[in-house]
Amino acid sequence: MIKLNNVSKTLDGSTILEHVDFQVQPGTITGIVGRNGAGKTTLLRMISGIIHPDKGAITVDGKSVFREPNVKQNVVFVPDSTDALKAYSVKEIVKFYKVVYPSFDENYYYQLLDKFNFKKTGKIKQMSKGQKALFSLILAFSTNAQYILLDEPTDGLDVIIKKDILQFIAEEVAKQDVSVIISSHRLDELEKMADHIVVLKDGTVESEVEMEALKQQYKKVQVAYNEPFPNDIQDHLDVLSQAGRVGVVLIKEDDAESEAVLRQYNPILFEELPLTLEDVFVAKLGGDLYVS
Amino acid sequence: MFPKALWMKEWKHNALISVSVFIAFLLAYFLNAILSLDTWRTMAEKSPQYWEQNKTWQINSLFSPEIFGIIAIGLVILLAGFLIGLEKSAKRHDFSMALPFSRRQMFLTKYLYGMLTIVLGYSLSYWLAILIINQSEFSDLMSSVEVFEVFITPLVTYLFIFAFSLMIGSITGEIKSQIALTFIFMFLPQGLLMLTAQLIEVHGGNFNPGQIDWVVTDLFWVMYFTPGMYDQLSVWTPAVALVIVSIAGLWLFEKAPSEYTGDFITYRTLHPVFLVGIPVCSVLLGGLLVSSVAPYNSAMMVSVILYWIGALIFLFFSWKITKRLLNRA
Repeated sequence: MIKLNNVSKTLDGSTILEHVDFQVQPGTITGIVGRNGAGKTTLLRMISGIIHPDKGAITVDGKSVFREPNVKQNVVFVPDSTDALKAYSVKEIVKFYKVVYPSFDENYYYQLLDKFNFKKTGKIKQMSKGQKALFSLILAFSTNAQYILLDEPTDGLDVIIKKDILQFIAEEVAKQDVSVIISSHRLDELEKMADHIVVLKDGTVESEVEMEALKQQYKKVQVAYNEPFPNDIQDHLDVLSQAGRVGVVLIKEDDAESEAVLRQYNPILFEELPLTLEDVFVAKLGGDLYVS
Repeated sequence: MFPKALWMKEWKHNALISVSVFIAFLLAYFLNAILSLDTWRTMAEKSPQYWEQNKTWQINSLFSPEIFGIIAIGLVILLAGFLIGLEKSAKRHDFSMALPFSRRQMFLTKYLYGMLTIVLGYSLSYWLAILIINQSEFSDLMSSVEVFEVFITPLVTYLFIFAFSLMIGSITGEIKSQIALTFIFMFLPQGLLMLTAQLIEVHGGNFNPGQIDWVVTDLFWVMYFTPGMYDQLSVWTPAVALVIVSIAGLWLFEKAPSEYTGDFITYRTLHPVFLVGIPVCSVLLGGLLVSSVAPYNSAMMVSVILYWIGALIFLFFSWKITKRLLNRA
């Protein structure tokens, strides 16, 4: 288990992270979401032992990554840039990783290269940006490490490779007993795969949610009226959007009172829509988390 | 203490510069010896009297750093720059720091990697040069060479310069500042002495280095590459300095704040030192340069005015540059 206890970090006098606490359970996907500059990358760099927290403790399976760096044989950090790999060839990097990570599975590595039609020769720098991103994930998952930290793994990639990457991560987590921490500012990407979401805002953990529980707590309803959209609904419920006489409202699953408010104006349409994570955050957390 | 993976990493990224250091040493001593033999033969044949008078100096000057020796010093500094600074500049820092090794292991691997490159390259070249001369008709000249002293003094100095640059690399955030500050700090004692002397003399004083002339001998590291100076120097000076900068380098590398990698200096606590130090040195340098254009017989006041004009101009620009260097994060 990765455990962050009261972690704080200040850079050049600005507080980047303050009193951050959360845990990552084995075999889960944890999404760290927040706007650019919220401290997501700093947090991952601290978990990887790259930078020290000013306060607090970070442990992996009960051991400090700073005092016992050996524990990082089970922690692989995949930064948003693949520049560190560009000097290596596809074969050279395997030799290196086999020495660094004793559990590295070479056969599995080559199977994955086949699966995604990678050449087994040549320099990594010759790959496209999307291929490099996918390749660094293949490397990371081939280590058989228990914890994989991904910093904005789909940032700046086209939709096709993005889909491949997200699907690959989900498949790997399903196959292996691995925990993945993904930082992203894209709620829509995380909600499809994350079990647990940590929301960072202004350097603090704004909220922590379990996806399953969250989706069972709320429902999204589209309503339309013959008369103008009632002000009463605007004032008392979480209206996600409204255009003319039609509105989309977020209500709690078992909130009979709110549903009664919607129905008392005799809607000509009352339809439940698929709920997204973004809907909940927009309604409950001020609506400024999502940055496309 | 020295994991195989770290050796593999350092070799992968530094093979080219290591081979360059190796070649520079071979050219500086071994090739120099081969070529000198031919020169000596010609000299002994065509100017026997001149040869007799100068042969001792000739054999000793073989071990003074000529162009390839100077290049070797530059490459040793560059090697240290590649090992620490380039890793930071080339965005490989996070990758390295995330590996399951301690910072101590990382630093010591880099340290030993550089040391071995220097020791092997220099020793091979030096002893091959000795072998070549011993096998030649000039072997009797070797009796006028303090073979071990001439071997060990430059070697320890090369190692010191390497370790010194590694130490500087532990406080800087990228390769350019590491290389620049290595050169600046290597000659800072002599530079400050010269600048202070000019400041005092321009204002009518009389600068007498007196008790501190060791600054331009013992602390002037290039002296240790000149066998003719060895009677005034002790190999223990660079040896002790090597130990000090090695320990300091390790400590600074372990404590270095990675979050400021890419900046001029990663240690924020050193910013005030540079914020004051760079402009002060620039003021002195500006004064020296501009006052030096004063005519020889001009009044002292002319020199003083020129000195402070230069000082103010350099202060203005150095302040701007220093602020930009330290705030560019």
